[in-house]
Amino acid sequence: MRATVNGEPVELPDGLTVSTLLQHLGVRAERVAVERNGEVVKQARHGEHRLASGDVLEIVTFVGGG
Amino acid sequence: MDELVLGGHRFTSRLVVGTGKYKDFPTMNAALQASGAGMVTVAVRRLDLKARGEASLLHWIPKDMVLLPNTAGCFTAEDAVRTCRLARELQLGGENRWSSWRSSPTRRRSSPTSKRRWRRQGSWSRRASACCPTPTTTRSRRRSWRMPVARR
Repeated sequence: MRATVNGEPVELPDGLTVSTLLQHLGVRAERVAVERNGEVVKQARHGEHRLASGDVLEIVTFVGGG
Repeated sequence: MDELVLGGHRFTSRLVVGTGKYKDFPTMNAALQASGAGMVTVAVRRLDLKARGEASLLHWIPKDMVLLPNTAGCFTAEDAVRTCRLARELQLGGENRWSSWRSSPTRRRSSPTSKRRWRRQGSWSRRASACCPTPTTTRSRRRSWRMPVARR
């Protein structure tokens, strides 16, 4: 399945949810916020959002600045 | 004691400190603790998926400090609202719903007008968050907004 994560095209296993995507990427869910196709996915619903081919995902975190 | 009350939070200090430009997290942590401030600004950035094992910024911010995510780097109202939404989601527990509304000065055509900016901010703040509009005098040469990458 082709998707775009943080601006980069990636090949992902089929059937991933947002939750399993973060596991696949080795990212701790409590440290990030996820946006899927322009909509924020609440952490409590990471497991409900099944990814589809062509999805555009943004995974962001807090950093120093400002 | 004279207190500043903002968005339901009580502050005994008017000082707002930042988290940028420190050489390392321990230095930042020492400075934050020494400042006596109750509020600290943070930025929202893309996670660097190639970086591994980097410490979380939040680990080095004293737990009693209120986080003030900012929208620095956003050139349009839409980008700023989007960043605020992500910042809200990032703030664990939902009690600390703050955003510093900052729009970078850039090309006249893409920079939101004050009227539009405030209208959008009003829309945003009605939805969920306390917003703290902050002026910026920083001049930027960037042509378009793209969420920069953060290290994990």
